[in-house]
Formats: sequence, structure tokens, C-alpha cells
Amino acid sequence: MAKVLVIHPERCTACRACELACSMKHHGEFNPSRSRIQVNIFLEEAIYIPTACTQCDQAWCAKICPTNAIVRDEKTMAYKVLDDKCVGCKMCVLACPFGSMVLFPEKGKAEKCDHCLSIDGDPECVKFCTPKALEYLDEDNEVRLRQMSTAMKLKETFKEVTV
Amino acid sequence: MSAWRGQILRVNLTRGTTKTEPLDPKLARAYIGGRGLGTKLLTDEIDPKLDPLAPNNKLIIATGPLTGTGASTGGRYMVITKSPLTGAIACSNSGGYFGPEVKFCGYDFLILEGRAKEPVYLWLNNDSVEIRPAGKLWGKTTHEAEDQLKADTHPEAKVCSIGPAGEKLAFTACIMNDKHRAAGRSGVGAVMGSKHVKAIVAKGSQSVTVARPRDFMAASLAVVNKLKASPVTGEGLPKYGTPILVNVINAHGFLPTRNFQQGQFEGAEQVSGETIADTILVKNKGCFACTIACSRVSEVKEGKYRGAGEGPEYESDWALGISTGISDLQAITKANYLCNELGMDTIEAGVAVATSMELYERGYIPAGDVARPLRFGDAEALVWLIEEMGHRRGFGELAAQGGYRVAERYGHPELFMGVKKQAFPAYDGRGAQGMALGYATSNRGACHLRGYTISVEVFGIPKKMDPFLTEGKAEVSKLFQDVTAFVDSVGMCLFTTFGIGAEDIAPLLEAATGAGYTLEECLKIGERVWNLERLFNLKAGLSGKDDTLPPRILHEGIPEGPAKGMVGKLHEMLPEYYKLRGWDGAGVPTKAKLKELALA
Amino acid sequence: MAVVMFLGDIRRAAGCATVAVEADTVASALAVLGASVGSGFAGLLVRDRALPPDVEVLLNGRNIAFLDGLDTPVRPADRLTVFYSGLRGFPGGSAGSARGQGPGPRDRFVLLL
Repeated sequence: MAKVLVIHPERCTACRACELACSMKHHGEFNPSRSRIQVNIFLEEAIYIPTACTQCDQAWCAKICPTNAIVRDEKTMAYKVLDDKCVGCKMCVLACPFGSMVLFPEKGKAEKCDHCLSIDGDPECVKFCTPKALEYLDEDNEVRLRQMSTAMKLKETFKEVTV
Repeated sequence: MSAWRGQILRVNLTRGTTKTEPLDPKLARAYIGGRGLGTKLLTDEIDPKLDPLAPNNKLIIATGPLTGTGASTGGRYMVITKSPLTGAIACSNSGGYFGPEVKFCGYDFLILEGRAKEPVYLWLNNDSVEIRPAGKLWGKTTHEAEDQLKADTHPEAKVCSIGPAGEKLAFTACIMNDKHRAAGRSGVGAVMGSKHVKAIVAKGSQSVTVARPRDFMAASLAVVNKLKASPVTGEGLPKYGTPILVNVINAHGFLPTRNFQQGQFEGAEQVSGETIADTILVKNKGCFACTIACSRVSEVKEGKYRGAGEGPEYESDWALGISTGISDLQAITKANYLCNELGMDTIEAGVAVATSMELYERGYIPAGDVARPLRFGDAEALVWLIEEMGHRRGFGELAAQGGYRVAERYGHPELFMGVKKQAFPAYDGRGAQGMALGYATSNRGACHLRGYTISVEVFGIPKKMDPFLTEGKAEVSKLFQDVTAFVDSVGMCLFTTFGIGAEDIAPLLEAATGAGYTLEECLKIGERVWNLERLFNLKAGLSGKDDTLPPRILHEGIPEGPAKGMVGKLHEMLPEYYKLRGWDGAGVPTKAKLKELALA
Repeated sequence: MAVVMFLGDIRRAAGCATVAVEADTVASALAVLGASVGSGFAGLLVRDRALPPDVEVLLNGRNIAFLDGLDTPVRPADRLTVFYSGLRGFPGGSAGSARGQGPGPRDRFVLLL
């Protein structure tokens, strides 16, 4: 069953706990600049948008990698980097139009959000997001929820009109 | 070292030099960080009798070991200095994102000394430290300065700055960071202004580590879940924010109205948390790593007071409205935004306006001294005066020094509602005896945060105590004061204590530092910090005589409402408080107590 | 008639901010309210002759815990205030910030990654 990291920007309170959870899980330290999820804070407009890898269906990063170090997990459909195959050529960093690939000189290997697959498949950012701006759901479920949300809006409109 | 970065950045503004020094691990162990260690560093380095606005005063930006970690609310920092408002210790706390960024640059403390010849700002970028000219920024609001500084350094840099108020050495001046967060009280903005420092800008990509990551994350998750489950931190604060208190305190009859002349405000509903949520609220927002997210992102969409920003919080709502007899929420919100932009403590500024209003109405301020009448309930006068104060012009030049200086100038210092020349916050001590004691004994002057007995006297957290009685208040005040001093030293937000306790925070601190902290020791450190602050104040020239309250609070009963006839019964609590503290009858810590706390 | 004022999200449960009530004790006032105001209100109050631990009732600004509790007499023109000591919202329902309510009618857009 494909899983999706669902982000609700309107629920985000810009606390950035997700950035800290991510850098701790993958790097053992607290460092937002080492986080694969980033909260983009537009202070004036009061809009906060967390972004992470879009887990493309036809991923540029995976296609361009010369050592096939970026592979897709069959179950969740997310992509992860195989550290022992990555040579740090940075072609994936160049190829990704969204900035989802990062490479830190100290480590020498490319990194991306892989829904924590390389560790335990239990996304840490989701665990620490209090307003539930981040959720990790079955893809089917999420699509269904979106439809239901639309239906609820319609329901409210019907009630207004018929009263 | 884990959690601590182990470094102090010392900036000599007179010579224009900077130096990195190692943090003494023994000192760190004994005082933790933030309020504790920052106060220790300051009190070791300055003469308590110095002039706070002279170059030899020091301004310390103090983070805690948990600042910059993922511990919930682990983003707090303190500004510590000698206060020009009170002549006592100043220790102002703030949230936002600035504190952690200092840690990401590699520092636990920034010590600013001397005075720059021309306006400057500091630019911290990992190992690089620059003192840059700030002439073009001088005179700008905190918001304008932050926008320009980000353009000149890095779009995601974090900024703390002063506005025109601090530049002009106003005692009501604060230090703002991330535009809407304030290190508010005690005139710390004036000290920064006296050093000609407009701003400190930080952008770091270094890490904060912890000694035992697995234990730390487990404890951290447990704290997050407790905060989510607690009604105050999990629902009330995110939903209504602190202004929920307006109707609650008003119902109890000790919401100070018209400069503490009444205990209830007929316009309370119009400025309540419920009304804010229904009208100007856009959404709630959180500080760094915060589970609670109580901040009010707000907007006044139309009319003469239109604008956007954050707030008003309960204290701001009360000081700018209610205490001024104003029920126009939009005007109050505009005044709040102005305070943030001009860099003023909303409490001190609001009470200065209220004090001026009472003096004016009683005929003590000649009409010729002020360009327009100052009467309770006049919303336009409020907004006008706040703007004048922020620029220290006209009547605002004096009012910007706070209500005490206004009352004193016009011959009626007894009409200033505060302690040690710092204004009371939004609870009348006559109706909540624990707060009366807390206001009188707080080391930084009147303050609600130092020992927030409202917790027991209104909310029953952790147990219910009758606000009208004095029994047991000395003991609970001391306990709250010591625990608060501990929490203020680690880098977490005090609001967490509505949902968790020191027994949850001590293990977090231990997992982060691996230094061997126990709960008992942590509480002891809180007591140590409280006494350290007390010693500084005594050497600065304050005494037990300053642990008092204005005559109105001690002798005039609240005129109406649930707390009718109540006065502040300080004399029933203070001797017991001194005794519990191990101080003599004059409020001086005994040698035995100091030895016990390793302060002698 | 005594006047009752609800604070915070108890207003949502009760469907109003203030209401007049005729009763001679706090307990009977709450019982009357439970039967007359918004349906969510009754379930919150007075089970087994005790208030839920986080609900506070003031009579003329004094917490009934310091008077005679639920037996405190209520006189005409008295003012009752009911609020959550946790200052919390009505459980399960809110128009404030969404705290993970399942399908969110307020979300105008989401990212699916």
C-alpha cells in the first residue's frame, strides 16, 4: 500500500519541531540545516509551508544516478538512498528541480527524505508534529479523506440553501 | 560538552573587538544556563552600583542547555543586565527563534561590553563574527530593521533588535526578536541602546548535541504527549491564548481597572480572549520546537487602526486596555503593534499611560504639559501617547520612562502601581494574596511570572487555594519562585509548567547534558539563583524596605465586586516568607543559607 | 433570577454566553442549566453530586470550593460563572486551530508527498 506524507500547511504553527526530529533521527543531533523537511515561514502573510521530497513517480534523482543508489521501496513507494552505493557525485542534487536532494561535505553522501525507511519506516517528523500538520497515511485513505472533506463543504452549502 | 556549546562570545564594543572564551564546565554545572548562569556571569563581572546606561554595564544574551534542542519549547533565551528602570537585576525572557540560532552559531552566551562610537549591529555566522555599521538602521522600527538586516545578511537569519525607544534610552524599551517576540521587562532595550547596538543577527548551521539521544528523545516525546493531553497547554492556550484570562480574572473581581482604582471592568467582554478569537485572530503560532503554540497572529482588517502582527496577549491587552479603561479592541491591538515596532514593553508602556491618565484626571498634570487630554477610556489618546513614547517626544519623553517617573515628576509617586519602580502586571494583589507577596518579593520588581500563584489561586494547579487567604501563600510562593528560576535556566518556556513539572524537566536536562543532575539538585539550583539575584540587589542598594506595595494596595480596599474591601495583607506573609527563605528579619540571606547554597 | 456566565468553549457547549436561571442552590442551578441550554452542557456537569475536576464554578466571583460547594445557596441577582480550570475548549469540537480532526473542512490545500 503506497503511503503519503500529508502536509496541511494551514495547521502548521511554524514550531519547526519536525526539522529537529529529522536531524536527530538521521544525524543524531539537533540541526535544522541538516533536516530533510523544512518549514518555509512567510511571516508577513502568516503562511507556513513545510516541504520535503515529493517522492516523484518518475524521479529525476533515481534516473540520473550513475550507480543506481536511489531506489524505490515497493511497499510504500518512497525513494531512499543506498549509502554504500552513493559516491557523492551530486548529479541528483543538480537534477532535482525541487531541492529535495542534499549532500553534506562531512558525510559525502546524498540524502533525501525517505519517510525514515532507512531506519524504521516510522517518520519522526510526524511523531513530533503537535497540530497534526504532518500525517503519514495510506494513499487511498488520504484521497478518500479529501473527497469526504469536499462533500462536507457541499453538505454545509446544502443546509444553508435549504433552511 | 553536550547540550551546551561550551563557548562564550565576548564583544568589546568600545574597542570593536570580539573574543571566544570557553565556558567553565563547573560554573555551567552549578548554574545550568539561561537565567541562572547568565546572572552568575553578570554579577561576577559588574559592580552592582554602576549606572545601568554607562558603558561599563554589560548586556548578556543567555541561552540554556536545552535551547536549540528538540525539547518542547526548547527555544528560550534570557537578556540579563542591570536595569535602568529599577536599579536592580534585569532578566527578561523571550521565545521565537533567535535563541537557538545563537547556539547553532556555537555560543551559549553573548556578553556585550562597553559602548560603540557609532551605531552598530553584530552579525554572527557560524565561526564568523562581524561588528558592522548600523547608521542607516538607526531610527528604524524593529520590523524595518529586521527586513533590512535579512537582506544584508541572509534571508533566514534570526534577528533581535531595538526600536527608536531603545535608541532613545527609554526605560520602557524592550528587545524584540523575530518581529513579534519580546524580551520585555525592566528596560533592557535601553541598555542595548546605550551601547549603540541596533541589532544582533545570527545564522548558524552547527549542531546542538545531547549526551544520551535515545533517552532524550523518549523523554521529549513523553513531554510532548503530556503537554498535548493537558487542558491548558493542549487546548486552552492554543485556542484562545493568554487573553482567555480576561473574563476569568474579571469574574474573580481582581482585574485591575483604571490604574487599580477598580477590580472589575465593564468592557471586559469586548477585549476578552473569546472576542479576540471571534474577530481579529488569524491563527495561532508557535515558538521554536513548541507544542503549545499560544501566540496570536492577528489582523485588524479595516478602519483607522488597521494593521497586522501578533498579539495582544493578556498582559498587553490588560495594560493597554482595561488598565486604561479602554474597551476598543482594535485600538488596543494597534497600540500593541506599535509597541512591538517601536520596541517597548507593553506592560510598562500601558501602565505609564494609565498612570498619566489618573494624574491628568486628578488635575496633577497641567494641561499645558501635554498636547492633548489624557483620560481613561480615550482610545485615540492611548494610540497617540504610545507613538509619542516610542519616539520619546513631547509628553512621551517622560512617559517613556515608565509610570513611576511620571508620578514622581508630578508629585504623586504613590499613584504609581508597581514595585521597585517596575509596573504591576494584570492581577490585583488585593484579590490574590499570593500575587501580592510575589510582586513585593520578585527580584526584578513587580512581576507575575516570578511566582505565578494564580496557578493555585484561580486554576487549582496543582491544588486549589483561596485567593483571599494568606495562609500557606509564603510557602507556595517560595516553591513557585524556586521552580521558575530552575525552568528559566534550562531554556524551556514557563508555560510548560501548566502541563508538566520540574520532575519532567530535570530528566530532560540530565539526558541532554549527562552531567548528573537530580530533581533535588535542580530545585536547589533554583533557590541558589533566587538568592544570587537577591545578593546583587542588596549590593546595588536595595533592601527589605523595597519589598513593599503601594499604599493603595496596602490600605485601600477594592471598592466593589467580589473582592470588595480586600487589601494586600503583605504583613501577614512577608515575615514568614523571609523565614522560609532562610533570611533575617530585614530580608538579608543569612550566612548559613548562603553556605548551604554554595554562595558563601 | 440569578445570571450565569459561561467562559471559553463552554459557551459553544451551552449555545450562549449568559443565561438567567431560577434556583436556590448551585447544584439545582446546574441541573436546570443541564436541562435547558445546549445539549453538550449537561454531560459536562455534576456526576455523582460532584463537578468534573476541571470545571470551576464561581458564585459572585468566589469559587464555590471556598463556600459551601454545590450546596451553596443562590439568591436572586447572584452571578454564577462557569469555566474550565484548564481553560480548555469543549472536548471534541472547536473552530479554533485544527488539532488533527480527521477530514479537515477548513484545509484549503494540502501537499501529498
